[in-house]
Amino acid sequence: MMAAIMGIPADTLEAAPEYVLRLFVSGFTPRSQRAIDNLRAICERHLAGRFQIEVIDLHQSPGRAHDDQILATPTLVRVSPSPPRRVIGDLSQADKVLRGLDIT
Amino acid sequence: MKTAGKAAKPPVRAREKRDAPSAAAGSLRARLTEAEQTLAAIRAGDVDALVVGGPAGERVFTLEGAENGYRVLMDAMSEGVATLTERGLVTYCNLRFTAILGARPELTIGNPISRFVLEEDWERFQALIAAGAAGRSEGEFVLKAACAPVPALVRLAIVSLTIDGARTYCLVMTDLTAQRRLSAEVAAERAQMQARLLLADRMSSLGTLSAGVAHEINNPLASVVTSLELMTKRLPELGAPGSELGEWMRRQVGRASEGAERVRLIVRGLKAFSRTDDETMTVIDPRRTLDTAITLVSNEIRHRAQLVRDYDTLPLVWANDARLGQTFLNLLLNATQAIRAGAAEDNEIRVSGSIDAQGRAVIEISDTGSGITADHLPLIFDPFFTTKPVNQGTGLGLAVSHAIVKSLNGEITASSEPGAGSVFRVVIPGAPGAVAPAAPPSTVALQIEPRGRLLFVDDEEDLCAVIQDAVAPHHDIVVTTHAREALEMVAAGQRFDVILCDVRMPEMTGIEFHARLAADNASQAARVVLMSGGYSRRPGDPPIVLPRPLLEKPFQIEQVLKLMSEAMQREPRNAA
Repeated sequence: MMAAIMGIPADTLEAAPEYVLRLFVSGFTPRSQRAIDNLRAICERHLAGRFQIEVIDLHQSPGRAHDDQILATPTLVRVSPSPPRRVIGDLSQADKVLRGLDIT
Repeated sequence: MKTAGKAAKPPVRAREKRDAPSAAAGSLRARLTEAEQTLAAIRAGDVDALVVGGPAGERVFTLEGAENGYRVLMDAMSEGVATLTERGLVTYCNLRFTAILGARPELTIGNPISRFVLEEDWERFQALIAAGAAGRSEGEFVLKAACAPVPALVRLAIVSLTIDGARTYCLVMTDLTAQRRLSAEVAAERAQMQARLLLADRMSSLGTLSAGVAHEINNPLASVVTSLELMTKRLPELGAPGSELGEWMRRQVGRASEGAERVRLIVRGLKAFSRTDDETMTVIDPRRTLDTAITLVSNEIRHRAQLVRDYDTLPLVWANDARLGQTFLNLLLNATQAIRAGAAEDNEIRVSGSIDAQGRAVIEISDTGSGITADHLPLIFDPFFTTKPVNQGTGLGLAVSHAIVKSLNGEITASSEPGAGSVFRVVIPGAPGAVAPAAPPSTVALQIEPRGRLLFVDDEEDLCAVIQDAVAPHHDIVVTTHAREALEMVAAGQRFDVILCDVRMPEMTGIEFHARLAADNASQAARVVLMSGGYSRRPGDPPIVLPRPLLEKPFQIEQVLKLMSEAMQREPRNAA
């Protein structure tokens, strides 16, 4: 049990990571939970050491929806590098997410 | 996705591209326009529900639902709440969670919890989670967010649950930092209080010691002072003025007298410090008390200010000398400490005294020091209030002074102008019928007075001998070292104008002596004046109430002669 849990190492925060990914969720919903978990897994596999994830709970900060023109949650926005790209959904299909974010 | 509710607004932006006017393009443009209108409507808040397609058909999601209440609750509670995946990823946290950690909310959700756990705590944290998987576990941790200036001390409670088939850990976090900070403040305050109490205790020990020392010194000092006085009187017999031996003796006796006077003042000052000293109220001359207090602090004052004395018209008061001395000393020290050292020319401490319309003594001690700010002024008489660094002021001086003056049915007030100085004003009821005492009468004047009879009772043989020598030229004097003998004399019919009796004697105290005399002969008992070089009272003993006025040792012969002449003027003694 011990080995299986808490397996994510403490990441070092880079001053300016190459990829800044902002995920908009709405509170404690299964879809949001899954989206967060999936995004993390994708980033660790494909962008190890080059990413920063920001998760915005729109219930806590509704004002943040306006800046990024968010219509529904979960929505993932690639903040940098520009131009912005966005993917909607629980991010369960890694290849679709990578394509949407233009990550090869 | 369809919209329910009001009609959609026109599109935000209309496409003006008309270079390929094919039917397909027109259809696409129409669909695009429609989609944009729909999006614009949702974004503008023109809809109140969304219809979402799913495997079981379409479902309607109202935008402001019942769960909104729970969310508000979650973010309003004082506990931090977060959910963790099995891998330790934070998938949800309320606002309080990030507030306690001082973390940025957007960098908390979606990030590993390990980011906040100290490296040395990581194994313990994993164990806590593992225990939580089996039910519920709790532990205290120091958590640190990268951007937070200080770590947070928290209690974590872990509950595990299964959501959509995945194990999720709910983490409830209680902030202990605020609690600890509070208890640390309480502890610091307590430590400071203890330090001050310790100092107060030391002062009180010094007081007890002083009372004992004062007593031990005053008795022999009384002999020294009286002997020197007698020697001074007979100096002229050594030869004509200018004779070598006569001058030499005069110088030596003069020096010895000065030295003895200084010892007397210092011992008096020591007694002023003594908190365990007696509580006896007697008629005292506040000018003497002020003199003594000033002597004690004169060394401190010299470097800081010029001292001005202006209290010749003070009346006698009904007070406790030691306590009043302590009050004056505190006020003088306070005035001294308000003035920084080094500019003695420019500063002044003025001690002034007068008598008011009700016959009360009004003593003002003013300084040209730093003053007291208006917000501090109401607090200065509160116990433990001090603006001095720890271990320099007890915060008790003014509080004690206040208590003393109150116990004397007096008043103490302060006024101040920050930057210009402060004035402390003490008002004490005058002794009943008291008027400003005249200057000590000269011995020449006394010598022509009629002779009276003095009974002197003291267990110190030396003192008896010198007093006998000193008084004999003026009055008849009978001395005895035993109070019992004195009682027998009165019983046998002897009568005295004044009976001077020491308070502390081994066989019978002066107080017992007076009580027994009062039972036998009230009019003679009324002529008793007690003497003391300072006496102490053990903790728990009731206050000593002196039945008669007190003459403090060491005294000058003039004081005894004055007592005699007053007694003789008041009422001639019964025939012997």
